[in-house]
Amino acid sequence: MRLQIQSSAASRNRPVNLIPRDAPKHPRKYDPLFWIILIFIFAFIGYELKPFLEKGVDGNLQLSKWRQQKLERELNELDEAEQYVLLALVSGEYPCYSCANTATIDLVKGHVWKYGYTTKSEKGRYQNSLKDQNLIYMIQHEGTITECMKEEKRKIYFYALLPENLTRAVPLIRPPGNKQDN
Amino acid sequence: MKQEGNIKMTCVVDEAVGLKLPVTELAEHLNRHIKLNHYGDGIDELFFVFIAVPDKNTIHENHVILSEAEKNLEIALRLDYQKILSADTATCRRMMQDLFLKGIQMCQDTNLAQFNWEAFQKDLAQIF
Repeated sequence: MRLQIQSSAASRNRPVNLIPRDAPKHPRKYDPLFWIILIFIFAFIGYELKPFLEKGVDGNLQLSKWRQQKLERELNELDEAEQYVLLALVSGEYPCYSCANTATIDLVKGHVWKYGYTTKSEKGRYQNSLKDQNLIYMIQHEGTITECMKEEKRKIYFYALLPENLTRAVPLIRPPGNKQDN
Repeated sequence: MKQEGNIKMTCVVDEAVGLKLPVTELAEHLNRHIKLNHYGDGIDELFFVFIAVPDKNTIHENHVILSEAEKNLEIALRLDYQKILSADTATCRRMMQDLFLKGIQMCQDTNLAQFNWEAFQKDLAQIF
């Protein structure tokens, strides 16, 4: 179930999505949810049966208009990407995936925990990216997905040279929150 | 490192705003005075995200997501970026408090979960 309300309370009047994540466990036979699901199934079938090819003015086959629009929308979403860093919000112990012999590491407020990138289509629930609490999400670069992937990779590799890393007795090869180089 | 308490907060910012928002202080203040289980059993954890990014950024949108199974509520709302840019810490905190109250008001308006939003709001008004 996805309920959308127009929020006059929210800043800049952006739509606010209210998304209960869990369906009721035992819907009754004639539960309204049953009919909603049925309607969605028929809508989905209708959507899939829509013609995906059509004849162009020159008589040749081409993608139908709705497929072209979907492609453009998805390509645009890949152009809207950002490279971010997750920073320690407070000084203390954080999980460490790149430490040789320990599972945690002491970070000072503002120290890097992880670099990453995301696209508009991937964005959703912050609990997924910030599940290790006491981290803040700071945008460092905005651009296409390729630019952001490159930027993330540069940041991960050059992390080894950051002063906060070089002052450690045993410097890390990559940030504590990055399990791999990508 | 896990945050103490059932009200957890973070922020999504760009480098111009940086670590300016007093997120930890506000979360600690709320957790000192508020216990979510006093208002019902519909929500065990409230995760609030302050978004302070330029208007052209469309990746970070406002949302309210409730997981009924986990009894976990995530509210993410945008602050006025231009005001945050030039605001001092005290002003930032006031803006964050106002935004938090707006989020709670939205939950009350939609009667979200088994939770006494009205009583929660009254208690918040007293400690802000």
